[in-house]
Amino acid sequence: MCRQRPEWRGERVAWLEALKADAPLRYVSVAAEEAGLSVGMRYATALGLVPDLLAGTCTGEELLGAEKAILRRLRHFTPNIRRGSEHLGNGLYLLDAQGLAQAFHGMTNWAQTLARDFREAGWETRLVVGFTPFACEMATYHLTPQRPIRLFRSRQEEQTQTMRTPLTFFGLSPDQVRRLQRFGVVVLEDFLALEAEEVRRRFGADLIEFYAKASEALFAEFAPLPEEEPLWAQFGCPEPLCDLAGIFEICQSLLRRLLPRLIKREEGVAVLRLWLLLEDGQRLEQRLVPSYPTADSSWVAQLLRLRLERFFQQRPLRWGQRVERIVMLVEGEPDPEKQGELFSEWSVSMSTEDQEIEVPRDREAGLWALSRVRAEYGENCLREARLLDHHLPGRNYVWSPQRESNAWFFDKSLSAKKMELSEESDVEGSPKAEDLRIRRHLSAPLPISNRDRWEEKEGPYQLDGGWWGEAYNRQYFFAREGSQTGWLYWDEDCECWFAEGWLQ
Amino acid sequence: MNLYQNPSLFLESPLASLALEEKLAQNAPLRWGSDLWDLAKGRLTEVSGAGGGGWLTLAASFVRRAQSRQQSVLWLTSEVKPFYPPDMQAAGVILQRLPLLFFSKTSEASTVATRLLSSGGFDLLIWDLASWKRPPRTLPVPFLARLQGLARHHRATVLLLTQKEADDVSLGCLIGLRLQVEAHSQVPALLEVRVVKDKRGAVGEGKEWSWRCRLPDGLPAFSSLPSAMVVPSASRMAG
Repeated sequence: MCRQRPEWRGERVAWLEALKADAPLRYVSVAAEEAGLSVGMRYATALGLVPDLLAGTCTGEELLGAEKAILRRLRHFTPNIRRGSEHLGNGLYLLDAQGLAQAFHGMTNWAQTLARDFREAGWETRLVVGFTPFACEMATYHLTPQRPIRLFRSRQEEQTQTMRTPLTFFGLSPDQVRRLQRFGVVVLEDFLALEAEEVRRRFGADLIEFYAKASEALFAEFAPLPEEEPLWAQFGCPEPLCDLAGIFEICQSLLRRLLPRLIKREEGVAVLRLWLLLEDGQRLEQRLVPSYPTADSSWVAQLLRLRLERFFQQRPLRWGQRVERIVMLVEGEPDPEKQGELFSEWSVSMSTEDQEIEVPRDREAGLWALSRVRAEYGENCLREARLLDHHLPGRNYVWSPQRESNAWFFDKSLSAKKMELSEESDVEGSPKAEDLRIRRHLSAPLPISNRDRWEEKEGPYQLDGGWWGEAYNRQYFFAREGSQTGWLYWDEDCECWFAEGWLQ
Repeated sequence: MNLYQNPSLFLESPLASLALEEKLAQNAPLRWGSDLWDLAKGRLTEVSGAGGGGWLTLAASFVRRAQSRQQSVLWLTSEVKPFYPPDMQAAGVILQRLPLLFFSKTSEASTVATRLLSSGGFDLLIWDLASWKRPPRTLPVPFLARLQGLARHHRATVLLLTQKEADDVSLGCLIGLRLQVEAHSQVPALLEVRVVKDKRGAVGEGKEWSWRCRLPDGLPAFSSLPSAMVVPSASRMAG
């Protein structure tokens, strides 16, 4: 968040779980912490304490992207990375630095180079070089932005330091710490000196878990995270190309080079990225996502052909913009065809009503057809409606781009009992049989100039909020004009009438 | 007469109550959903209505029925004025099982509709033509012929949703069934369905029936209205 808005650095900043008034704070900056804020506090409470608090959030995709970027950068400094386990906080990484001292002229230099590199990229880093993961993690919490690096010279020093760490640093609840302090247990050394059975009897199961973790983790080794080898290939054209057939031919040959490596990993193509580097320095990117990970080269090639044909129809290559280089990158996922039973449910469906046998549906052909449409018209043409937790119309749902799913054809979660119930619900007279009148929703609300023609209004229904960000204050009405029932609102900020939609 | 505040005013009017009671007395409940489903299968069905018509509601009931039978559904629409998803869910549609295809041009949607239908993988295809800003009033006959051939071959149901008056021409001469769904002029919860065109003659042109629906939150419920689908015996549908 601070990287996106550099002016926020050094300010009182909080990272929220969601952009809502009751969302908990996931992270607070040093300045915010000094002002009395803490992680877990509600945003509304935090604003009460610090009215000028800067807050924001980010999506899961952004977080994932940031993590990938960090991992890529860390790989410049060590081949073996192990991300912090689930018990560790976000943004904590364990690196294996064994054998790197000589390459970097000492571990101090290694640590300083790493910290400097991250600082230049806009990241704030705290780094501990030690012997055991647990000790390093604990020491990280003691570091400050002014003193971001700590180096343990010997295992003895590290252990001594860790043993002296107060229990307040270990993520224990204040109540647990208070209970321990009553027995004079203040630092980790005191705690580990207790008998395991005694801890269980006096403090219960939650503390014995921490006890076991602390006593084992002190001496635990860690296995490195295997590095994922990126699967990419490129081809530099001897003569710049401007015909589709030539470009497609090269793409196919690149695919043929990449697929055997993917098959060796028992993976299929989950995402295929293609970059076309043009003569004038432009870079055109295409991203293709098959319905499910596949290693079927003809399938992927067909999708690729459809995408390229469509793309070059809309954007023909001109003289001076011919393709000089083609780069292809493939992201793999376990191939479901190797896992079995993906298509086992794709069989003839039968209706119980009147014993009529329904026409067998070729689900695979349906999926394939959808896949081709998506390849041709872009990833965003196929979507699914997803409801969100928001009360303002328009913000309470999103059209989320999807790739084809078996669930669209056959939902395993619908048990036979549920099916029976839904059959019954169609019987007329039952309350469930009542259909609901559906509203049509305008993607952009339409200003209404002549409000007088709408009569017999029902409302107002006041909707306001967003005072922590984008504020809105609206009064919703249902109003009629002839047989049409409109869904209107009065925007109190701009003092205008808008049509949100109507019953249809 | 403010019907929102007092909907019973309409029902208490002598003419309305007489008509409804007469219909109720004459007719056994009609399982209209099953009937309509069978009638629409394997041919092109145009569901139209004026501005306040309830064709989207009818399409939603088709989707719900298809989903309850584990059938595959596809919905083609534009981003300008699609349906309101929370209403769809409240109407019993499982949104996770409703793939939507968004196109900016109707020509793209028509190409895709035939392509997807020819795969034979879909039971119900709904093309919400009314969601585009300027939808075509008619569709080319060769295209309709192809679509109709595919629907018949694969026994698929194809619903084309359009906004037009009952006396407007249909999308083309190959539309097999055309239903006009209008909201009652006084009670929005009551929809009136009329068969404008029936080329097979299974229902009979000019047949009408009423259909009671719930209303979204914010509009008053009409508990006193009959919940049954009613049709005069002479115009009762087959099935």
